[in-house]
Amino acid sequence: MDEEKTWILQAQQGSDEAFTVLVETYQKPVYNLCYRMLGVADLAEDAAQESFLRAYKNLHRYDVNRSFATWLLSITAHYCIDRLRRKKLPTFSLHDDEGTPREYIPDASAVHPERAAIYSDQQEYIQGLLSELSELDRAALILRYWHDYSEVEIAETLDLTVSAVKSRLHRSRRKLGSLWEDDPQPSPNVERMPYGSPAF
Amino acid sequence: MDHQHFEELLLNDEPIAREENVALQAHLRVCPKCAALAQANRALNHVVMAAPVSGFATRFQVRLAARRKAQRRRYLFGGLILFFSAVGLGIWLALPILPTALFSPSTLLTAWANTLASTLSLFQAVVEAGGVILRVMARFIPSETWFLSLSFFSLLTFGWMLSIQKVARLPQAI
Repeated sequence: MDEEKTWILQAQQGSDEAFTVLVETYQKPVYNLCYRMLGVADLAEDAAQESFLRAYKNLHRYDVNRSFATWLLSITAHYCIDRLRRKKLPTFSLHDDEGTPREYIPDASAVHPERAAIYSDQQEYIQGLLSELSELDRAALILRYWHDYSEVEIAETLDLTVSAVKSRLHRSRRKLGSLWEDDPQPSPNVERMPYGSPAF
Repeated sequence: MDHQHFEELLLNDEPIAREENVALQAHLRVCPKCAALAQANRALNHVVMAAPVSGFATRFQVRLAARRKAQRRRYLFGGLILFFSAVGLGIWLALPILPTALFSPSTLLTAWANTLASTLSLFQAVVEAGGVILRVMARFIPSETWFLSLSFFSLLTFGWMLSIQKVARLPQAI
């Protein structure tokens, strides 16, 4: 953590190398938040890059006594929310226009191919459900489950009160549960997908 | 324990005691709504992080360099536009007096001195006239009205200063 503060202080003094180290350290959480918020890999890449640029531009405002991750994810979350509100994105579909499944980049730790495939299906399904939530509810849920943030940290990141975060998480779970009940996740090997090869 | 209790447990998604968990599992077998909630929670608790395509930091450096270049270009064009505008305005303002300034500078200086003197005398006349008007008005307007007016304008100024201070204290948007 002290090493991180050193990088931050060096970056605040104008060192591009130090900021690049911070980019390398936080690229995954920032990209993940963007991807879960926007649902499209290209948009997520662009949003993650823009978030880092904003962080770089406002680095002089960062208070080193606060958590850098929270500050950075706060910039990212607000950027994604603004982007979603400014330009109402089309709802995320599990398949693209040609009917082929969207590319999913699984976690490098998921090495077993079968398990990775099941994870991938489940992640895409969850991603589809996320798009049904409002921007702030989605951000709160992503920070809670993907980033393992506490309610206090989510409140700090999204500029909300803790009770507002609790209420949003509660509401999001209710909505996801209701969507899950209406349209349960299909078992990956039971049903043949329309683009799949025929069984016989 | 009723459905609402279990639903609330699932909506809060917090760790529960073993005995309660046994009761919850039994309830999940008969309640599709709670079963769906539990499945959604289970899926959320097993999510994985998405990672960017390799070379993210390098692409960031390229984008940062491009942004800096664009900013430098903007500053350069802005500076050039400002410079040429200032030169053009200067020439346009100086054009009428340019022949006089070149052939008879003393005439020009005398004209400027006269203009300055007449402006000063005009200002003095306005101040004197204002003083006379105020002295005349003081006789007609009662002192309470003066006091009330001054108090009102003081309060107005105070309120304005407070609002300015409040705006200045607002955190800067990221």
